[in-house]
Amino acid sequence: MTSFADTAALPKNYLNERWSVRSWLLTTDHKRIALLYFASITMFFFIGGFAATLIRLHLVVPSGGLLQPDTYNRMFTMHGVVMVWFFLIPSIPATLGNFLVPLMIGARDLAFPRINLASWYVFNVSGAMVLLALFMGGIDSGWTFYTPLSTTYTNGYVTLALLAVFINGFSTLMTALNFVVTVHKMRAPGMSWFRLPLFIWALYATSIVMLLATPVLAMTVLLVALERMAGVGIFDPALGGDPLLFQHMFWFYSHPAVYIMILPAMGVISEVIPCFARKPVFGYAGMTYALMAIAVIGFLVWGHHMFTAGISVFSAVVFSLMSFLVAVPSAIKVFNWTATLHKGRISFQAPMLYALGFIGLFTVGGLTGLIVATAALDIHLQDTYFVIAHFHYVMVGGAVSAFFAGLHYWWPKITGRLYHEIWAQIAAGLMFLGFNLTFFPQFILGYLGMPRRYYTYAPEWQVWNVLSSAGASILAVAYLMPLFYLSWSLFRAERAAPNPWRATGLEWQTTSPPAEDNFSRTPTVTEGPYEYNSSTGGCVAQNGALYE
Amino acid sequence: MRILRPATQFATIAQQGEVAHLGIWVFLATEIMFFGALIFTYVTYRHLHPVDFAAAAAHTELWCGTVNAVLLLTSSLTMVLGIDACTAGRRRIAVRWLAATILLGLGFLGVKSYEYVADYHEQVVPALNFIFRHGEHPPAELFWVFYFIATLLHAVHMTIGLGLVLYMTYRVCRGDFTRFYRAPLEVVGLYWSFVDTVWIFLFPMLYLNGRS
Amino acid sequence: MSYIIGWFVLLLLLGLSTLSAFLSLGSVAPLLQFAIAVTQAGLVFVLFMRLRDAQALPRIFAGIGFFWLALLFVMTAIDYATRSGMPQP
Repeated sequence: MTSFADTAALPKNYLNERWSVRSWLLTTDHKRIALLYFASITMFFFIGGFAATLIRLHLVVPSGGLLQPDTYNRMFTMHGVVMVWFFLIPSIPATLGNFLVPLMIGARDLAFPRINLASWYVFNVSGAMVLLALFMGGIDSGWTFYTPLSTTYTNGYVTLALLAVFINGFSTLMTALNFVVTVHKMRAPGMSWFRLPLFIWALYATSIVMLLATPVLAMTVLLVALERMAGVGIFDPALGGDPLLFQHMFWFYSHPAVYIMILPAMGVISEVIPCFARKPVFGYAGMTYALMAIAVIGFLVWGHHMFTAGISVFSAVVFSLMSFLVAVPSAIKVFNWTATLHKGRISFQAPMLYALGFIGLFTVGGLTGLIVATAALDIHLQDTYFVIAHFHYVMVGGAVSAFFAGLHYWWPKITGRLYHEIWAQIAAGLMFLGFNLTFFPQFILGYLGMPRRYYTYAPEWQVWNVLSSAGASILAVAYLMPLFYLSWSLFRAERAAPNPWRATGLEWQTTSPPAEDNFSRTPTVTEGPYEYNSSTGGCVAQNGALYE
Repeated sequence: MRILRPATQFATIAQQGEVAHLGIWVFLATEIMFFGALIFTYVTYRHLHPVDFAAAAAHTELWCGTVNAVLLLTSSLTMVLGIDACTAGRRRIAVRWLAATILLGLGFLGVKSYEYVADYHEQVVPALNFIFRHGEHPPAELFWVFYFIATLLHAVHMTIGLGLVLYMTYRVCRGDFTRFYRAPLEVVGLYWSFVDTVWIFLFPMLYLNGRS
Repeated sequence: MSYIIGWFVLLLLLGLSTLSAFLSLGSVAPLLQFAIAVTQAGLVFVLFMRLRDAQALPRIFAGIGFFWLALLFVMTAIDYATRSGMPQP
């Protein structure tokens, strides 16, 4: 075991090359910026989680009582706003993406390193604004800011929150712009498009979605903020405005937003599964097409959030059909991951546990998505706990599981340390258990008719709510555990070799942690991304290096 | 003669230029979506309230809008002539064309300011002093809301553009750009022409309604 | 030189568009003006913003915004166009 004091004696890497606070806060190194982001989003994760904790505690009793009705509304709004824009959307792209994109394609940094740093500051400014709004009194309109509640009738700090979201959008756009240009223009020699790791494809698809959707959200929240500030009824029927137009514009962004959250997660899974099954990904080309198809079709489904809001029946049918269509490429990906596992040489380290959990939980989330995509069923299920369960299965069971999978998988590369495997496996198992106990009862509650965003509920539903809250407490423990064993590993754990998992990516062909400019010499790519051999367990890395 | 080195993440200066060029187009795609969303909202409401929007639009200052359109279209010309001159190494001529661009842009903002004052006197400013004329219904105010949001947003982009062109003029003077590398200048030129394009769409939308 | 011709065409189209507002063209007028605006924008993009000489990638990104906006317009229009208009109670 080595200690922190040994760090200075190590060869120069991006962590120990410079020590000052200034060298961190003014860095243009994509790896350091990734860590800066990691700190920010972790903080927001626990803030959003705190709101969720209060909600679940409150819902243990049918008549409520823990929170005042108004406070309850502010809690679920805070939970939504923080988790969507300040955790889920930036999580994988801004942390793992920022760290890995240049490494995986053999580049020294992203195309625009200073814009990368600026994006972190913009993110924090928007974060400070939203925290200010929430702690000064909060907003109670729900994270969806439906008009005219958000424009006319609510008394919270909506304008400030909306401006925070507006500014947050710039951070997203900067990251996306960087990724798109970098992937197009800075790949190492030999790294053709169809040799790119699927994580890169996934981030590329995500970035396209970010670029095209976020500006529409920016305009939408700007219009609502202006309506509130100036008292002019842009979405107010009294002036000729249409509240449904707000919903069209809001969901035109917010549905692709969920694909912004899940596509990077799928990318992570596509890296972890081949490595821990020692098998090339099944149907690589199909996986890339599926990613792009999800990105594109995901823009055509937004009306399924509005089935009961007053859109025409014809339009509902069109959106329902599109929503069914988007499930196809997602399903293709699940089939291909499963086919990759088939006859693989599987080992069950923590990243793999999270990845396997992802496949199951994402599938449940996806199938229940089809249920709510069926317009006739959605009439009964809209605004019930069924919808909440559905999206938490894909967002938390899916995206958060993948985030933890990626965090553990690349931890040795990022920190140069090995985390404690047993504790990580326990946490993964606990998370799977806690998650299902929290959210499966919510499917039943939704089916039984329990509405969402109400601070009380009918007494006969208490048992399911209690189960859900119990599950939440287990989930909370599972989320807190990595905080401890991962931090501990920074100081006490074994140092990691360059390629502890014997993986094929270019990021594993440099030191752990990498040097400031990533590679001593620009690598040349001669192999595809997943040249694993399931019979021997060996592999050939993308630069040709052989692992027996 | 200065030796131009690419930034550390790039292999060649040509790659740096290509990256800048692609970067600005990707950014412009987001701007198209941003203004497009606003125009989308406007078009929807105009479709829902055609008579009220037409009646309200008839009170816009057509000559202001038209003069501004001419100024901007000309500024796109002067901008691109400036870039060409810089490429050819004719630094002084390039500066003159860029200065012309700045003057035209300032002219635009001048006309716009005059127009805003006139609008204020006409009492068509929502939230400030808007009054309904005889026979006008609430959607008329909605037209003016969009008029101000669209033109203000455009003016903000113009101002940013002017600042950028000014900075580029300074850099051209200083001799920063050659025919081998002038990416920042071209990037600003693209941004400028894009702001011009936004006005190409805003002008008929806001000024040519309700005139027949 | 081609820039000057292009500029002249732009001004011509501007004049046409403005003129069309004063003729009694009814609902054709906005469509015509939009078509003229699209032509002007196309000219600015291809000529002044030099898409004429650009590689494929910038061209794709130049067009993708317009295409995506079309999706927003069309799919929302489907809703508004097919509403049956519930009678007021």
